[in-house]
Amino acid sequence: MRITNAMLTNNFLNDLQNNLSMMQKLQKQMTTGKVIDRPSDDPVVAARSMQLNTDIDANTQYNTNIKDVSNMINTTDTALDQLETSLKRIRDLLISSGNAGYGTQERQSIKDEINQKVGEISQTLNTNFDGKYVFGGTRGTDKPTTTATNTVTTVVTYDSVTPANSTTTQTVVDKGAVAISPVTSNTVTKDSTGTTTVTVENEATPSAAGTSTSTSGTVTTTITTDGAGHKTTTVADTSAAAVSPMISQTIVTDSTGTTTTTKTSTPSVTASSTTTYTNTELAYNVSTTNTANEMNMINQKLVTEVSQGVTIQYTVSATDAINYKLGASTPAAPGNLKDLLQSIVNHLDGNSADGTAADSNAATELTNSDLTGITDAINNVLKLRSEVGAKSNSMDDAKSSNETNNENLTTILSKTEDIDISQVTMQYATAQTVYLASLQSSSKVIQPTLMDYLK
Amino acid sequence: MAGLFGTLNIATSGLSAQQKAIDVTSHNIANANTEGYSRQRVTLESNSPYTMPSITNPSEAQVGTGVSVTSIQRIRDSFLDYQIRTETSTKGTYDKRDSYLSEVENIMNGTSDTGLSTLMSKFYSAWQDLSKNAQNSDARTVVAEQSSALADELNHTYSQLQKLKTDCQSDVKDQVFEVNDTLDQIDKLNQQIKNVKISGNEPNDLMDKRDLLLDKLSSQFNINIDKKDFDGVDVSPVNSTGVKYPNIVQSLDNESVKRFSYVSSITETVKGSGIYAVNYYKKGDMSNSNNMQTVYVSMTADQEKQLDENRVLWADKDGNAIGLSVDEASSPISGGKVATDPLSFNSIKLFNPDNGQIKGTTSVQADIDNYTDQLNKIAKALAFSVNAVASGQTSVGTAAATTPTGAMDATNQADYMPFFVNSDTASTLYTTDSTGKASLSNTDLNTVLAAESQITAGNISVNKEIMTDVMKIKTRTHDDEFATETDNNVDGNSDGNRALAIAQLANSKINIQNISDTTTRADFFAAAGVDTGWVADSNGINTVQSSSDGMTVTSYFKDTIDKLAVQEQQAQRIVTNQTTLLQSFTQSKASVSGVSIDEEMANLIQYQHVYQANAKVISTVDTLLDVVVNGLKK
Repeated sequence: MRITNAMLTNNFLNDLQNNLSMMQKLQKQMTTGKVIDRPSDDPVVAARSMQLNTDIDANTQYNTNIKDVSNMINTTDTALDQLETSLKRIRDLLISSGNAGYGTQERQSIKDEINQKVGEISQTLNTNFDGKYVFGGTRGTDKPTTTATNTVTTVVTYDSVTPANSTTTQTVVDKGAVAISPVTSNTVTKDSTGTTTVTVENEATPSAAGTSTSTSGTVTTTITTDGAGHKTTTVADTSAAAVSPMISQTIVTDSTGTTTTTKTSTPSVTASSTTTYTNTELAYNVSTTNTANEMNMINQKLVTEVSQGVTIQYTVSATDAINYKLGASTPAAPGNLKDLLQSIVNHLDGNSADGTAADSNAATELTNSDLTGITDAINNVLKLRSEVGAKSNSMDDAKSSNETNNENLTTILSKTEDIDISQVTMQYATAQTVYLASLQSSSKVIQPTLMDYLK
Repeated sequence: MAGLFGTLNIATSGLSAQQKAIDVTSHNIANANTEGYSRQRVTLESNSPYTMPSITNPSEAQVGTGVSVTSIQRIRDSFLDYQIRTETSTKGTYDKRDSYLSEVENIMNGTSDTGLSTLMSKFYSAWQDLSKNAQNSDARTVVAEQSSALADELNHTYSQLQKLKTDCQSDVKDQVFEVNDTLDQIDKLNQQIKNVKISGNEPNDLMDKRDLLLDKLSSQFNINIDKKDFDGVDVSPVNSTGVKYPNIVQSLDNESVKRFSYVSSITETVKGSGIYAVNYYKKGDMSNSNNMQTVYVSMTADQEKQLDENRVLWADKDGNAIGLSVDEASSPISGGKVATDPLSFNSIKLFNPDNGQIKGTTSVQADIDNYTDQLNKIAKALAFSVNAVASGQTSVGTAAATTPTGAMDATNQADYMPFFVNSDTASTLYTTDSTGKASLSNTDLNTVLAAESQITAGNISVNKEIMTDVMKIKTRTHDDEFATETDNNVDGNSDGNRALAIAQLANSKINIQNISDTTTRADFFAAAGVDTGWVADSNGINTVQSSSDGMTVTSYFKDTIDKLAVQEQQAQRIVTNQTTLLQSFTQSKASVSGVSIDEEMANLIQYQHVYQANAKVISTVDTLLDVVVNGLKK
């Protein structure tokens, strides 16, 4: 092959370009620390790196979610601990109230302290974390509970016209109570034959008119409905002890939430008197217009995603803590802390559980049903705490698995797209040597021509 | 016997021949670095001998009469030229593809920390955070802003791609102009070469120039070269489908050749009519508006796309498009002057070379269109899935005249608060109150909802109502039953189940590939359309069901980037290969035709010595003549 000057020059220039582009590529790798600068450098690495980055981003978000949930759970646990302390104190107080040496005065002091505890419990249930009420369910910006001060006034008057009867009217103004519209009125009459008649006026959902009778042993139950919201239930129990004189009780709840109880009976009270009790009552902080929905909101749990497709409910609702029995969610359900606390203070006042009448068994109730109730309530809180603890543990597990996952992903990403510094440094050194060699040899080949040797 | 003067003449012929050879050597040395130059060689030949007729001595040897230069030849291998031109065309294709695809790669910004992929991750993360803090206006603002950033990035990428396509087209225009100019130059040289050749000389340097121009032309598209008499050539593109006489340079009758024109714009006269006004500039020369011609052509959308991506037309010598303005015989065509009398698409003669820069530039437009289309699909999939989950509506519905305040019933079901909207339609319809909150009337809302099917990457945007009042984002379990978020009295304000469902769309596999530019939200969920499943999740929120054939929005984007990367890598690889191949051909060419200084120096010395020897002969003859003139008679 004939070799010409242009060939040498072209060769030199091409090789120089190749060397320089190689050096530029290596230099780019050195300065960015990445194998690829743009996807076309290596589509496989690029696709892998994009996928890993997306996974890492998602994983980081799950990590944030887990941390947030953990914080929430820890706050819940602290609050439940406080709740437990309050309830335990109440139980201690109840036990001490059983002390035979305690009189009305001591019980009043106990009642005062319990009133304080009720406020404390409400405060605990209103714990706020990160702008949300921890026990508020999905209704995170409103307090789930509140306390109301109830003033119970009992007035006993002597009926002079029919000396056999007296009327006791007790009005309970319950600030936290749910108003009922329309006004309902219940009348319960127990006569001297042992027959109990319950008449419901203004039944919320009127049943169809008719009469049904059922007999079970000595008990005959007759239900008469007139279709217009009046329902009379008569229970005739031939074995029941007859009551003499006849007792009739009417409870009216009006649209302001005020309950008025009127009792008519043979005077057991011979003198007229007025007694006023002041109780602190735990109540749900819900509006009167959207009660059912708002109770539902409190009952709802918050949900978050802790890894792909895995969602967990991470809150405890106020209803979970309050309804210690039956797991019922309605405010009036039996076995709820709200009623229990009310019953305790009423019993301490020497009244019946609902505070409608004086009750001679009140003191005994304190150490029986009330004590059982409060123990159940404490057990319920313990159960909730163990659930929360389990969740907290599972969050710790989720967190560590998330972090391991993240580490793995990051390691794989690093292996995929990061350079091996020593390798690239060596390659660069080699490229540099080749470049210098090409410059040196070319400068020697290109320079001389025949002219240099001619005179 | 010719005598001493004859000898003197022989020496003189030697002198002038060597001088000519030195001239050629000097010409070679002078052009050692000239592009396209082929070294030249003198061909020396001894002159016809002087025959001395003699009756007495017929066998006496003939005496030579010296030397003369018969021709000066250029040393060139035409097969190498052919190989170089073929490979140059291929390299031209991929040079252009490489340069434009690397631009597309820059625009798509796939692997960077600030690209679409990252923004999509952030978008879903923002929804995750919102699901935990739905009551929090900060979290809502972050969602609105992140979504807006994602929409903006889509808009930006879209407009960059559109701009790149425009750049491509203007590149095609420049190429057309340059090709026509090159063809004129080749034609001129072709005629000059013939004239020189006819007059009996070798037009070496002109042929070098013509070869150089043909090399340049071959980088634009691949060409056939037919050699004709007197070193003239006929040139035609390799692919000349549909054109009867495709010569673009002709040795004989050099006026009846073809040129190329450039289509500057294609606009539909009435939307949906299928009749387009096609504007083209004669020979790609846009410097003068007189060069613009308008022809009406009836086309389908696909044909319009084909023309839009190609844009180069066969034309006659003056640039009148064949089939549109003139026929092959250069007689004007009657149709196509008015919109009511359109020509058919088949009459358009598109210039569609197999290889070369024109091919590279036009083919890359189809790729840009393709990537734009994929971005549009991403935008639509995002808009439809997020809007559907946010509103619980699998079709946009029709908003009632007055927005229902309670739970929606069967008669007024609609998406009253779409999250993503088509900004082309929506941006002008908002009214802003004194507090800066934007709102849409229900009539305008219906217009906006109807325009949802035309959402593209270029116009996707977050509903301005939501941007100006982030509390309107629907995050709660039962928000789907109410027209607006504020009417929902069933769920608490930290309920983020709906936001969580939207965040989980990050992992929903959707049949994105089935989305077309006419797909509506109803089609998106219809079995006959995109066939996206619609089921309740673990929290009771109706949401998109993953399809086994589908892919997530982020992975679809990744696939797009992946495909782009492979295409670009292929272009780069072919460019590298072709460059190496061309280098070896160029080396071969340099080996054959290149000037070697050493060789020329050796020749120079050779010629110099012969010249000196001839001079010595003259001086000897001079001495002899001196003897004859002055020495014989004293």
